[in-house]
Amino acid sequence: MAQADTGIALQVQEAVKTYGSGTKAIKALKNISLEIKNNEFFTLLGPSGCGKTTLLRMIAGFEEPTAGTITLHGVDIQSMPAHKRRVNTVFQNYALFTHMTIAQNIAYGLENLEWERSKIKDRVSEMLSLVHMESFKDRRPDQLSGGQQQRVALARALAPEPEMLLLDEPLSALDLKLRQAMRTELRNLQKQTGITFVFVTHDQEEALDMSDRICVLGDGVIQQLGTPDEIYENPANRFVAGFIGDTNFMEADVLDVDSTHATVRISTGLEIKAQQKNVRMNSKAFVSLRPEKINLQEQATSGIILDGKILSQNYLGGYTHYSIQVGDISLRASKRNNVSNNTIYEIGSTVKVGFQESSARILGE
Amino acid sequence: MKKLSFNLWGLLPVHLIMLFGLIIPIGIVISVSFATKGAYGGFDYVFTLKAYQQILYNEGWTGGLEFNPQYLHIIGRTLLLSVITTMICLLISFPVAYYIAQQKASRKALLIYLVTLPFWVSMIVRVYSWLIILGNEGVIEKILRFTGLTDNIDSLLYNNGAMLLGMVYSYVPLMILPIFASIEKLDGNLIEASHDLYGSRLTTLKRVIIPLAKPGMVAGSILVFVPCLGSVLEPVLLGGGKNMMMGNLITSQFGGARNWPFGSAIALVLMSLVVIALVIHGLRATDKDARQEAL
Repeated sequence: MAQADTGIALQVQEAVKTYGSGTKAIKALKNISLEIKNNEFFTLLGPSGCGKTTLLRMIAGFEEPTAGTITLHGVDIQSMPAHKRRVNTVFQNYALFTHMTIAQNIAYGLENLEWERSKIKDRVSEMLSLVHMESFKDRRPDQLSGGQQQRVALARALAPEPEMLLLDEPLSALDLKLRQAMRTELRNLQKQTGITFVFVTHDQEEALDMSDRICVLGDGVIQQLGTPDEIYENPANRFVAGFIGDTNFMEADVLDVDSTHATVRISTGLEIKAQQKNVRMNSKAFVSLRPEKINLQEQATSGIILDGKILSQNYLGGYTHYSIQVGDISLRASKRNNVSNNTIYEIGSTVKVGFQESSARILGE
Repeated sequence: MKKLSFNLWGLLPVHLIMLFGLIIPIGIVISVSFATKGAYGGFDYVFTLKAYQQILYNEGWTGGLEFNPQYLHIIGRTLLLSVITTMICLLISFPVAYYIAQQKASRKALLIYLVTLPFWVSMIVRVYSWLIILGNEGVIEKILRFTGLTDNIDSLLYNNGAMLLGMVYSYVPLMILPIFASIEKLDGNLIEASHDLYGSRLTTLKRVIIPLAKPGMVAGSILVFVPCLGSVLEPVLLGGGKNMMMGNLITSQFGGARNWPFGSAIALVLMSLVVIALVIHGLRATDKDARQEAL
């Protein structure tokens, strides 16, 4: 049901999932607590094996948490079987019923909910037009392309007006072009229907592109939960900074820490003061500096300026990626080839390397 | 050109086996069925329809024809028992196959091995063992007596029920294996998708699992039904010979009754029943393909 309010749709409290028992037990999820708001495009992002699919399957009802509670709109759904939860899933391999036509696939959920025949018919044609598949309604799934099957899976899951739509890496089986088109389409579909989407992916670009909020999972725990730009610009730890986008990590000794900033010394002897997260005195820290925040040569006019030597160069059209030796560390820099500056620096040449301290982040282990 | 000659010469051994092993013998059976019974067994090649006539009519003393349903009963019993056997096998096999398909890989292999285990023992021995179980002073009778449930029991053997039991027992593995194969390749996500779309366990079984296991059920039904039609051992050993099936009738005509033309005619009727069953199945299969293609 399309609810415009921003109340809490789903609440997960201290969820734990353990497979096996005794010494061979594998902890897939260790104490996860999160809230998903109504009407939100919420993404669970993480590398494979981080527990994101397990969490999704727990919300769908295919798996029971070992401990913890899950509530949907205030109702405890933990012991509710999957077929009673007002939550629908788009499966990674679409899981369309091969023995039914497209229209029958879409009608399946509605029939089980015992809708009236005429209402089912209307809803099916409404859904078919929503995903632009009207002319395919009497085909069978194996007569459709991957992208078309994807749309049918979406229509089938959206038809029963679920309180929440779960998407388990739905774009991973599509080719690049189609994947990009489907991103926009999914985003529009979410806005159009007003249904809360919970999207699972390992593709950070997909997550940044589509989500209202992203929950980065790693090793069975929540590494960070926030909006795409929060996560990209202010990563909570080294894992998040490394997983989302590209970055340079420089190991550093902590000289001073206050509540927001830290001063560290990197191996070249340079001291950097920048925003910090989770940094403690007398422990290792890392300076994270994104490649696109490094300026080269004439653009390196303010902030910290160092001398470097180009080690390698990758020309990518709009951008050129460089690897630069600065003292005993090597930095990756990405330079936009725009109108005012489309110089390409040759391998072996010396360049000025500059960055603002405000662009760097200092992260604890 | 090259392909054609390969089809012709490369497959020659197969063609020869088919010719001498199938086509010529069937031709002989057909010609014998139209021949005249010899006075002391055997037959003479004199064309007559007597053998087919005998299926339905008796020749009276006066030379007139009297309708005789005796053989129709045997044909009817054969069909009925075969259909019932197939249905019981279906009912037993589906849950068994489903259960096996749910197990871990190692356990699955073991259970499938157990299902095929009876094939390692001769069919006669297997059917004979039921004599020991069901017979007088057999295991079941002893248990019934011992528990005092009943003292006075009719023999459990030599009736249609015993024949049915023997046939179900003999052919049930042929049903389990194809159903297992079709359930096993069923995508587990489809079952989850059904639950996800508000399908209860029963709905999921009816609308997703059974329709997708149907090819296995059809294949199993043919594998059970066809040999059932021709079964000989179960009626002789468990039916006691008084409840004949077509297989026994044919055997007796070539044996004790020494009426080869009549035996051949019955054999051809049996064969046409099998062919009809296969044609119906074939038509349904091609029909479905045609429908799919038309879309």
